[in-house]
Amino acid sequence: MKKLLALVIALFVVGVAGISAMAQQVGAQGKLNARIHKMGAMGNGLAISQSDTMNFELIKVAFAGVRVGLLDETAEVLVGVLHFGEDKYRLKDVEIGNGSSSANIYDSSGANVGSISLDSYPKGDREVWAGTLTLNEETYNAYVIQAPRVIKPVEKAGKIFDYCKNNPAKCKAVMKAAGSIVCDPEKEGTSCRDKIKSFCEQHPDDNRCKALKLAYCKIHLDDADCRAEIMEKCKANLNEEVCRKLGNIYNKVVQKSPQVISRAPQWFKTIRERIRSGPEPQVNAPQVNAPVTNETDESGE
Amino acid sequence: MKLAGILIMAVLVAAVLISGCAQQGTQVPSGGEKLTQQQIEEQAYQAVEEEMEKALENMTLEELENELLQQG
Repeated sequence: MKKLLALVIALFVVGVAGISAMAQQVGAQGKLNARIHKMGAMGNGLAISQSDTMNFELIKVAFAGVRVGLLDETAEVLVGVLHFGEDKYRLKDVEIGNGSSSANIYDSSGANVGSISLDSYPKGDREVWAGTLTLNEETYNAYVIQAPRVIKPVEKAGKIFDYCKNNPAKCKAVMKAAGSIVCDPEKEGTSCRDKIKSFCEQHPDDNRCKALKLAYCKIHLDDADCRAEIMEKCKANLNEEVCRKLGNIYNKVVQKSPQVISRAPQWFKTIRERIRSGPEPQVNAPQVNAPVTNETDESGE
Repeated sequence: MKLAGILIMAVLVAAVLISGCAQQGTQVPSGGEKLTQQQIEEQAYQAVEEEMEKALENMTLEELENELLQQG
């Protein structure tokens, strides 16, 4: 009797151990990871009916470019979500441009029930999105306040990796300008990029990593997180060429509604005056972070 | 009698664990299988939803009201 009991217990222990090992294997093999690499509009706000101003709803919205990976396989998709009051929707056919986000709205059954289109504009220290939202044949004016994000070191390192992959010479120059090079991305290629990525993931506050992240942002103004970072830089030093580019993005809203400029933040009013007065004179502004002059997006994103 | 009880318990626990593992295995491809577009999108939607909730959890309604009032 005792022997039989011991045998059963032993079988049970072996079984549990086997199942546990199997579960770990499944987890390791099939661990999908998703990382946001481009942010569009994300925040909460209001949708106010165009036909009845007392018909309004609290909304939450997020548009993002997401990189999904499984082992060596990686895919990029643009997706979004919308919470209209208590109702949740998915956004498809997402487009994230320079200060614009648009998509079609789908309900839980997969039916297309509307669309949303937003443009961004600086208000105070934040970026605010305004536009229209059509849902179930009702059209609303929508206003969304961009939520500040805490960007994880792994996400920052991913952007730095992309920058060094697409601009190895500039990557090296930026590191040199901020101190010394971690390695030579021109000569060492992939191994150096991996090294920089790993270094910046572990040392996100290192001057070289911060300079590389800023250099990435200077050529990715379609990313709302980058615009937020550049906006802070422009408040401190409007002489950087990228401030003019940022001003041009927000100027699209002014061209649609000229009266908005009267309540614009001072930095934007100043840069807009410079844009209106013609080409930027050659200013000997100190290159505090990186000698990034040819600001074309070479990432293909 | 006791032995039968233990045996039944052991079988039930094992069945529950195996069932859990089997479900986990169907969510994502294993080994050399390719990701489907549906799996990619599902994971992306989940990531965006989580990111939005996380970013907004500290943004209170009072803060939202203040921002909207400031805009006049």
